[in-house]
Amino acid sequence: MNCADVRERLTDVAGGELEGARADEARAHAASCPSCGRALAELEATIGLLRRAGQEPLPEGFSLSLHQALVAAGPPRLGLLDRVRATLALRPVTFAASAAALAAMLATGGTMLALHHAHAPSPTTIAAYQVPASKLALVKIDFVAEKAIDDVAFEITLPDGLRFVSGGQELAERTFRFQGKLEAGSNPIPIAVRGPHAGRYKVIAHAIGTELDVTQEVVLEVTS
Amino acid sequence: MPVMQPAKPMKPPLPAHELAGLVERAREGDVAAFERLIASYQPKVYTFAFAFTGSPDVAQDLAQDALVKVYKSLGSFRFQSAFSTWLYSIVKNTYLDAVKSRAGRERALEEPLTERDVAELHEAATAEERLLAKESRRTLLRALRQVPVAYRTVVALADVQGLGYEEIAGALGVPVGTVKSRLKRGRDALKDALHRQRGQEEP
Repeated sequence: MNCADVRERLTDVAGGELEGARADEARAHAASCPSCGRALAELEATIGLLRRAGQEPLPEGFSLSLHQALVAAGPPRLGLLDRVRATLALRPVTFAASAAALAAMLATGGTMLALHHAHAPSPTTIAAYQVPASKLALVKIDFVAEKAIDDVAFEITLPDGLRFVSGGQELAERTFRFQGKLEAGSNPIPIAVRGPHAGRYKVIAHAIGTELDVTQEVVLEVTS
Repeated sequence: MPVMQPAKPMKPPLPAHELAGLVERAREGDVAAFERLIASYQPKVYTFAFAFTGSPDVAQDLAQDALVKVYKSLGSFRFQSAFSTWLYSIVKNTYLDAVKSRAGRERALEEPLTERDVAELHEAATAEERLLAKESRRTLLRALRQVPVAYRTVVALADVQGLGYEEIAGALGVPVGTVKSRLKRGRDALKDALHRQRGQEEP
């Protein structure tokens, strides 16, 4: 072996990645060649120092500072696939809504009925929105019906942290219930909401009718 | 001559079901779940940052920025790779972005030894003690900054963090062969950097 061949192997020998006959050859050469022997010794010293370095202790207050930064950053961004899935999930739903009824109620501040929530099926995420905390979000819950269905009971519930907004005022009620019907095709229900604090919230929409019991959710991400 | 020691073993990863649950909760904005998820990685990410910057203050800012980016990017984690590999890929990109930025270039400038470093050197009585003090952990990590960033990344991940070839390749998005060649060049460059330091400091 010549020096050039040995030098190619020295770092793997020093790091322990190369063992066996090829490592023994290199070590044997290094033992008889002052230049390669010095290079091997220096590499072993360098790698040894790196491995002994281990972990730096975390600075005092690191975890608290990180916690504050995470809270201030707001929730993770939804991945692209999540958004695509949410869009696709709309299609097979056989469901429609009384958009006009709710829109009118929101516009006029009309009567709303709080509902004691009974058991509901697991919701399907149908859409996701992102809005800054200072802005009003217009969320559309779009129900697609294959055929018209009369006499459907709708319920839309906000989580803690979101408020319905009507006429520029935040409302105390968390749940709307109203009767409506489905039209064949798309039936978007627009609702105006606001969330003063960063976070990810789920708006739950529930519809019950003849042979119909569907729960959907819309994710609203409020950013700081 | 320092005694060779093996890299410190990595802590066992979280069980898959626990990892998936924490990721799911963290995606929903549960900060506590995210902090549990990255608890074992915080010192590693900070040390990685320190190896890059050689400055505790800058390393703290950089490590924090990187972990916030990991949190914000959780929606893109698909469980197709190990969580640690995915995490390190984001951390690495954050560091490289910082190096590329103007501020990063300024951070990369060699800093003079601190008073504490100088005191350590003078307090060491014998030549051997002086050598050990000179090549203290922080001095060594500062020397790392003289290594080109592509090689430095691999050296820091392999020899400081104790990651294997495959894991580094996944984090950097390069073939294993590239990891090996960068590790060799990085170690050689660091060895030469330390050699130069000794030459400069010896009378």
